[in-house]
Amino acid sequence: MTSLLTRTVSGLTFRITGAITLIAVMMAAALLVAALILDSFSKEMDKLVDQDVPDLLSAAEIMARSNALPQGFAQLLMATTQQELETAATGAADALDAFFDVARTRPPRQAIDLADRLSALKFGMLSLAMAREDEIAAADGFAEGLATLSGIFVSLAGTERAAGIDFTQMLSLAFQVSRSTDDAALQLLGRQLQSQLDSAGFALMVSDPAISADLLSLSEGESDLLGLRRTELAARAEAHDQASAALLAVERLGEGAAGLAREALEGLNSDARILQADSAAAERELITLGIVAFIIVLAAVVATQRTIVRPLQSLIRRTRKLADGDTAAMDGARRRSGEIGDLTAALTVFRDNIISNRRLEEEARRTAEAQEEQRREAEKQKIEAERAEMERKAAQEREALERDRAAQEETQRREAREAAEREARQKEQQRVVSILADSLSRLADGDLAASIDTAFPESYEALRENFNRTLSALARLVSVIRDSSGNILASSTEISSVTGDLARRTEKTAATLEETAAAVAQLTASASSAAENSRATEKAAQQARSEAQASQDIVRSTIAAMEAISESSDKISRIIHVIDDIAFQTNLLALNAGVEAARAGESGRGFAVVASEVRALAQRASDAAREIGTLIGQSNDNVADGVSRVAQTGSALDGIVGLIDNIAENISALATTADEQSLSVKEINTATNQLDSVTQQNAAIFEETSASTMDLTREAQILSEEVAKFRGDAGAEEAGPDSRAA
Amino acid sequence: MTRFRLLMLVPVLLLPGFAAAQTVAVTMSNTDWTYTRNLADHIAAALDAEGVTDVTMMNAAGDRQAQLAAIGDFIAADVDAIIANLLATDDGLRVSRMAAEAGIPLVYVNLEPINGTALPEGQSYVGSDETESGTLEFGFVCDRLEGEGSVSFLIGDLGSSAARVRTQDYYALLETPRCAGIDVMDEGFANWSRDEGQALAASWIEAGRVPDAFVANNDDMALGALDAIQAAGLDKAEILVTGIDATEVALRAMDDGLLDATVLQNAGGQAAAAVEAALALARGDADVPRLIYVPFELVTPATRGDLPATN
Repeated sequence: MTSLLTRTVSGLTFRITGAITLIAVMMAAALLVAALILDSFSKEMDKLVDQDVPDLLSAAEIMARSNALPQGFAQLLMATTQQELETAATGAADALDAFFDVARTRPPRQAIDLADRLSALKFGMLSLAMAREDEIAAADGFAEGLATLSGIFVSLAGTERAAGIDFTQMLSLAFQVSRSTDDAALQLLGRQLQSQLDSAGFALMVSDPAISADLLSLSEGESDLLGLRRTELAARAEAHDQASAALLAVERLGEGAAGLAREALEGLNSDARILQADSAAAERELITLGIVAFIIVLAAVVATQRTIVRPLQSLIRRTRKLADGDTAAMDGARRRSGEIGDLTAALTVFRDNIISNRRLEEEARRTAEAQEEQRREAEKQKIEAERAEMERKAAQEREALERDRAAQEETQRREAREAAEREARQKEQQRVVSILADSLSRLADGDLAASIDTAFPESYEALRENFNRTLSALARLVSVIRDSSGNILASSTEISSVTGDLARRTEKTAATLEETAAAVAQLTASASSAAENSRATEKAAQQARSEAQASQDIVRSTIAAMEAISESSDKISRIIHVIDDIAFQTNLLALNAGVEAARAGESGRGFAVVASEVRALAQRASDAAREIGTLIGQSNDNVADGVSRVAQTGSALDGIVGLIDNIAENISALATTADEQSLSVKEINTATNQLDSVTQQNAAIFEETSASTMDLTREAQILSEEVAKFRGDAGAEEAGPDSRAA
Repeated sequence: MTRFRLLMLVPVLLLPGFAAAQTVAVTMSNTDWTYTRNLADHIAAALDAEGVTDVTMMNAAGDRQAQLAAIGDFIAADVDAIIANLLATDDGLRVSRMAAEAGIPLVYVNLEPINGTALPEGQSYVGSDETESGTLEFGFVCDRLEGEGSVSFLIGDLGSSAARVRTQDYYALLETPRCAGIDVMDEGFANWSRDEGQALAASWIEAGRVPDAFVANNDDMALGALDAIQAAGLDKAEILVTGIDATEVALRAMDDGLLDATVLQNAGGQAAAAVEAALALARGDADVPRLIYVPFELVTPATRGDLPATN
């Protein structure tokens, strides 16, 4: 049992199987480690690609969209016609609906939170649009009413039917109503306008029923000017409130989006770090694994060389020498165990046999020499004896000769037999050695079918059996090696394909990230352009403001001009007064002249006519002066009216400037927000670029790994080819020496 | 209180000749949808019961513009009252304004308009309080699991406030001791659809994530989860599945021992309340509340027998 164990442990099979098992275990370990690394790496990679990057992209998209929302609101606020308003409202509603689609890409809790905010924002937007719609409709209605009123004024002014109706006053009131923002003032002006419209309407009821109806409709009903103005003001206030609320909601949305983006960036950052650490660890592990694998493979090769190849080579050398008759060939052969040991032992026995044969030969030669000596001695004795016998007995002579001849014949027969035996033994030895040498040389050439099938003489049969056993063990081993190297080749091909796959996936991820980076870059550009747009809008608003201020200056100079006209009129009135006085005096003088002419009688008649003419002239001058006075009075009134109207325009312009200030302020806030958000998007861009480069590096590392695995595969291929060089039929490999012997 | 006042209206409305010469116009979102069809039938029946003969019933069949145009036509025809089951909550502002300008009473039913909490005078919304539905459904699940276990939520369309409120009901319950030991395993949007619900639940099951209960925003998605459970060959007895709406198909699934609970949105109750409110507003009753809630009812195999044949 113990000897069997010792044989098994020291056998060739065990040694080679051990070496191959070591390599196989190493390969399996490499596969396992590679699979583990691959698994954790690909998990992180998947998380990055499936979760982190889309997360970041959607957060960035939310930021970009919330960035664009205020512009939609600004458009709603700035629309002046129903058409513009409708376009702006549709745009804003579409933007919000698209926002819902973005929200759907978030985890449900965030999505629901976002959707609630969006829903509130949408309500605000719709309310704002509705208020603006009311405001624009009321303003349009008012403008239409004003147009009707001036149309009536143009068609009726100067006609008798319009006598007693002060259209100028009415238009002036309507204009003031259209500009008044103060509720109390509006109430006062509106009531005045209503009463004038009513009285004008009633006055014209009989003569111009259509015009009358128009005038009355401006006073009360759907196109009531005061009502329209009030509606407009209320709607404007409502729109303003809704816009402020919506702006606040957008700001909160933007803050939320910035938070989401920050979270997404942090997640991405930490996952990228993990990935980087993983890839560094993977690199280290793979290098360690490579070194260990190299050492083990080297050890296995050295062990095989030392324990199998070299002893076999030395054995072959010794056998060849032995075949050449050199019995010293086996001197110094190391004592080994296992098949090679057996073979060495058998060869030693063989050599011992040769040595003993030689000794026997020597002995036989020495015996023959001794016998010759004996024979010569005997002949000498015989001659002496003959001499003695011839002297003694003649009869005894014949008998003695007979006996000698018999002894001689016996010796000759024995010598012949011994010579034949020696020759046969030498022939056998030569045959055995030559067969063995031949087989060994075939084995040395890698022929595993070189077993010795011819039976050896009994004393050499053990040698043949040992040789055949060695051969069959070798055949089995080679088959094991062939199988194992096939397996190794398969394993390393698998590793190579797995690593190749990993490399490809990493490359794909790198490509995805590159696309992401490009998309984010685009986003950055759009965010910057949004910020620029906001700034441009702000500039436009400021320009509008400065233009309004310029208009104010013009208004002011107009007022000054009007006042100058008013002053000139006053002066003209005074001059007219003087003219009137002169006319009065002239009239008086003419009267006096007439009285004097009457007193003069007939001779004064001509003078009386002149006096009467002068009086008529004075009267006419006085009338003309009065008329001019009335006209100038009227013009004065008109100028006063103009002054007051221009003043109203001035205050209206003040209001407009205030409104524009408001809008500019809002837009300025928007521009700041847009700037900030564009900055955040830029940060995201940088982060994505960094991530991109890290992944590119990883891809490169994996390509290298892939290349080294390919090297491994090539090595395995070479091993496999080497093993394949061993010839041998399947039967020889499978059938053991025992079955052959049987 | 609300219901009590509404019930007090009934005898008045039932007085002979009261409803004579009343014209009521009704617009429905889409009667291809089971629940909407049932609601339309109940409204028609309630109007008939009130003795209103001049009824215009309009099915928008999913077309928003057609619905807005129809309401414009109703207003132009100067009907006595309008009952509107809107397609889009956003249209509420415009519809409310159109009706308010014309002074025509308007009652929204089932779908809450975006201005539901800011309706003008002479308008009401009849529906059910969604904070109840999700609480009834998920509360049942927590009780059945005895406050310990894992659940997965199937959520409706994000654009719909019902989906958001029902899901927020779940979240709110998770913070209470009643559901404190419940973990949310998965959650996702299945947009009210049975197919999408099936696909989502199947993807979770395939990933080895099988919860103790699938909680869906509506019955269709719950039925989708049941489909996924059957397809994966899991033991239904070990998984709770619940929905909302108590549709006919869902109730059949409950009778087959598949669906564990649903919540009845009382179509008949909503129809009756909407008709009552519309007629009261047409009569000039200033006491009609702006918001009229018809209570939800939890339906389980135990309470199944108390239900009418169809909802």
